Amino acid sequence: MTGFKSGASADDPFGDADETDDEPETESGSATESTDSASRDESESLESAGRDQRQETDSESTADSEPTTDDDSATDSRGLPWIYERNSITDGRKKTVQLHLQKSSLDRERDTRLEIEDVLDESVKKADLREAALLVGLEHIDQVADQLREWGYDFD
Amino acid sequence: MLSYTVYSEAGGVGKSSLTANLAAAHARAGLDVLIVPLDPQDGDLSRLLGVDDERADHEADNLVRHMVGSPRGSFDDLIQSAEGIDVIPEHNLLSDLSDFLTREKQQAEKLGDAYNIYAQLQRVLQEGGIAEQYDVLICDPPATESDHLYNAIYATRNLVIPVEPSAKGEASVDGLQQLATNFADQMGIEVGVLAAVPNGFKGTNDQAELLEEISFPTPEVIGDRTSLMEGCWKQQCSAFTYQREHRDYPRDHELETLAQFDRLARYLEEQRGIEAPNPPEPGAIEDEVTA
Repeated sequence: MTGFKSGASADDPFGDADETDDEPETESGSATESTDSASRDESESLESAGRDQRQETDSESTADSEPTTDDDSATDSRGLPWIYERNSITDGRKKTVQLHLQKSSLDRERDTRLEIEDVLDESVKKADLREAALLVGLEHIDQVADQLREWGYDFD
Repeated sequence: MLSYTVYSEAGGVGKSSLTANLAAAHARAGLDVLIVPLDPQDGDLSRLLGVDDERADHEADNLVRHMVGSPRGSFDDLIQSAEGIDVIPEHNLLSDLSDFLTREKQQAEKLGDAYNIYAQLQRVLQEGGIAEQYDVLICDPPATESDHLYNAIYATRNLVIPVEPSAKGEASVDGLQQLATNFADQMGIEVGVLAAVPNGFKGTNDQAELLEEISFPTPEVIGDRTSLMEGCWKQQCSAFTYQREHRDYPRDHELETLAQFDRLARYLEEQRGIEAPNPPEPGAIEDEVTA
């Protein structure tokens, strides 16, 4: 796949994690690492998303993780909260997974981001909002199950 | 993510103005936009958007330091904002980019490592999590064949080409096609042309004929807007902000140009399957730029 063409290139130099892209899932990090992600399916990736951040705290289970900023994974040896300690948004995020979202979900995410920015009185990175929402969601299994039922799970 | 490099071989065709105004058009429709301008000269995009304070400060951390693996701070701290657009401002060190990259390559080769001097911008942006944070990435390299240009093309894989509707402009499109083809083949990548944007069109028959010759999509042909663009440079802002804050009354032909920037932005988004959340009525200036 080389050359020069009229219209959009199909190449994706960043292992795109954007929700609007239908490219196969890829992984961020160095280009040489990006090949092993092709074999992972999405459900596995989503399961591992919560786990990866916990690895630093030797916690194996997502169920007992705390969606708060005062656990060990949110601080470094100097005691700085995560967002002040990291050099870039990917620091401490070893895995990138792609989210395929319904447009209505994407709209809600955008609206909610503005609300949360109002509450916190500062801008919030999209990746942080998503991971925080995922972790909080994983703590509320009943509500997540309700949403899944609404989509047709457990349908008799 | 939609990513593209705005590039023309000819200088003075309004490349940086087009970049800033497309970025503003994406941003006011609710998309997260990052611009990476790479011009080693003054009078550049960072100047246009008023984020060039540290350009000559040798102590300041900058993109070149990150590209050659000697950062002085975090990548996130490089990013500044203007009009709801994020920018990694230019720095005078960009004039020495090629020397620095060559030195890094020699060093790597001594150690037996492979080093692609054209892939360093892509590496920095990827490690910085750009694809996760932004909907649109636009690079604005200098109007010369350079390592800046090749790093920009390698990182974005797509081109938007402003064209002066003249014989000189046509020749520069042909030259660009050859240059990009060679580079893409050499690197084993695919480079797409999203659009050519004739700029400064005065409506003569000769110009109209030349437009016919352009072999890429030309979704909008932008008229001669010297007064508007000069005003933008003077006030250091996009044409949208200039029209809203610095024009005493709206000029219809300028509002039409703003509408063209909006429509062009929608066209480019469509090429990558991106839907802006809040696209304004094209050219509407009562909407504040989305923060």
